[in-house]
Amino acid sequence: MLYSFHQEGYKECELDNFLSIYDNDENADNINQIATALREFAKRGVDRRRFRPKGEGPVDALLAGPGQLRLYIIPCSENSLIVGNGCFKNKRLTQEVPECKKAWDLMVALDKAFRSRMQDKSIYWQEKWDGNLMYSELAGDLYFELGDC
Amino acid sequence: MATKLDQVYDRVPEHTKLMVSKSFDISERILDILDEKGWTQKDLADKLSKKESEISRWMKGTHNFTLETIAKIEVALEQTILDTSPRRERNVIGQINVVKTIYLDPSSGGKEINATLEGFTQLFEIKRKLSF
Repeated sequence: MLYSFHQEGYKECELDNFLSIYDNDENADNINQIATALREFAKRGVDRRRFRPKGEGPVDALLAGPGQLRLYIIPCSENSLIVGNGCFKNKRLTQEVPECKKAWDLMVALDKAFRSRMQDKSIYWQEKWDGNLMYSELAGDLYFELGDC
Repeated sequence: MATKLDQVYDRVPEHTKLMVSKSFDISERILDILDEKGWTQKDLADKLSKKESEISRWMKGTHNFTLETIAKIEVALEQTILDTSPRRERNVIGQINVVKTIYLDPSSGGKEINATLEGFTQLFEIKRKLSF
């Protein structure tokens, strides 16, 4: 299952905003690959081995193409990803590219708040049945005040 | 209602869908071999003289593996990643060796004829002797 989040004052959720910015003729191939990879994760589940065991934290990125377009994601269960925004990282460090820094910092802040709420159980997984399939869905307090990211 | 992601996905060319699916398959195979060997992605990176972050990128399912890269990974892992053997050979349960080809003449009680088929106006029963 794919989750994204909607910032107050923004027209779209982060994933849709990413697609609105980068889904154009110039980046179509990259966006196609990223969209397909998200579908593959939704279909196959989230294999934790695919994500950096000793990375910079739980926030990771899906990359596509030589231009290194990236979409930030947080694997949050065996079948769920939280999807944020993205950027072209055309410098070595994330912090050197303002769009990347903004998207990254927001994901890091969200991840921290999310995990804290999972621990205190104000967010939890709720079993659901759609008539054919049993699945888990996030429930609880999904409204975050993260300050200025 | 279709989401924006659905709309993008709907127009993705079939070959891109297949490419990403195969990239997922290849990276999954690599991850399985690493597990079998008790290796980390760092071990593989060292074997290939790459950075661990590059191996990590390959595992995300969007990497367009070249045949050269796959071959280098196969050498490093000492295992096959991409099996391109023809489908009919994948279900082989034993080796068949043709030991000898003989021609039998039923009109002479199945006597073996040491001749080529050429020159026979009447074709008899032809058997190929096989051994397992």
